[in-house]
Amino acid sequence: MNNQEDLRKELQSLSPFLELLKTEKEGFKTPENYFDTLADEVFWKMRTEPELTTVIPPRKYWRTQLEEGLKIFLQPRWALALASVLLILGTSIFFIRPFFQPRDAFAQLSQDEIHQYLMNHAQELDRETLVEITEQHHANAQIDPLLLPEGNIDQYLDEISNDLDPETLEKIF
Amino acid sequence: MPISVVSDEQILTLLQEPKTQEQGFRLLMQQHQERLYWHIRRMVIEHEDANDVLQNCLVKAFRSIHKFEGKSSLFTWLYRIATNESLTFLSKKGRRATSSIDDETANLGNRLRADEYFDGDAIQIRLKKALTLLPEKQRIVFNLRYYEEMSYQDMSDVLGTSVGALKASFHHAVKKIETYFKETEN
Repeated sequence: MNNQEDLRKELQSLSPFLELLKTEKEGFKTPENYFDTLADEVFWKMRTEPELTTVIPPRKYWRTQLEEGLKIFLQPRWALALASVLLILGTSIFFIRPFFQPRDAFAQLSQDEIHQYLMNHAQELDRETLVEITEQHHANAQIDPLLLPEGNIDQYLDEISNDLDPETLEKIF
Repeated sequence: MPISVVSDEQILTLLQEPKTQEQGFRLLMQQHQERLYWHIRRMVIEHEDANDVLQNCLVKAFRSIHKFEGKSSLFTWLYRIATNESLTFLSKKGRRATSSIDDETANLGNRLRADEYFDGDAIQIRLKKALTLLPEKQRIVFNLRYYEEMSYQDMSDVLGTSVGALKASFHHAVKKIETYFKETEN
């Protein structure tokens, strides 16, 4: 059933009066040749209103837009600028990085501070760690840490603290 | 290119290229301008107003064609713009009006008789008066169904309203118009 027939039946049931009225002409008219000249009028309107003439981007897909965006960076001027920025960033990171490493916390310590630190953190060390320190960094130690009674670890650390440098301290903790 | 064989896809292809944009839009207008005009004219009544609204509608469509996602037909999309433009126009006009809606309806007869682009008879003038008394959205539903013979499904696509609600709206509109004719019968 087409729309016209469908509507006719609907009006028959709802309002035979309006169905009959529909056969008469509606009464609205347009100026002569109105539709022939409308397109020209619309384009004239768009051309005479500057903001309307340049805002009609062609329909593009996101991939096309992305490719066009990336093409900008292939132009010599932009490519040089981008390369310069990357070089500066890379160099900065290279020089700045060491200052942010954890070992800096120990590098600034004096020998007295190392001693104090060892005393404060003695409970965190086990005997195996002490053996390792002794073997690697304190080869001349007179005391074998494995033979030390539990309470004498503090004493041992007190003795070796003067020979430890910040780098060794960083490796212990 | 004959209008009858131009599809939405062909028009959109032409609109994508700057060189063929104008050609594409002219084809789009040739296909839909008359139906859009009558849709707008029945809402705003006078030709000069309809011409302004239609031109604004077409300019907007041209400016925003890149936003068309292809989820509906171009015709449906244009109808939505035309409907919104008409409602905006009527809203602005309503705010400017100093008289009540009853006075506007009463004056409509004189305006239509004086309008060089209207040659309907007395019963058509009464029908137009009855339509001005309908709520705007009900009037749109009546016009789309009664004059443009649009299917309820197409109306649903244009107006974003369910088919059931549209049928009910049309039914109410028809009954109100009948009532108006009975009440104003001499």
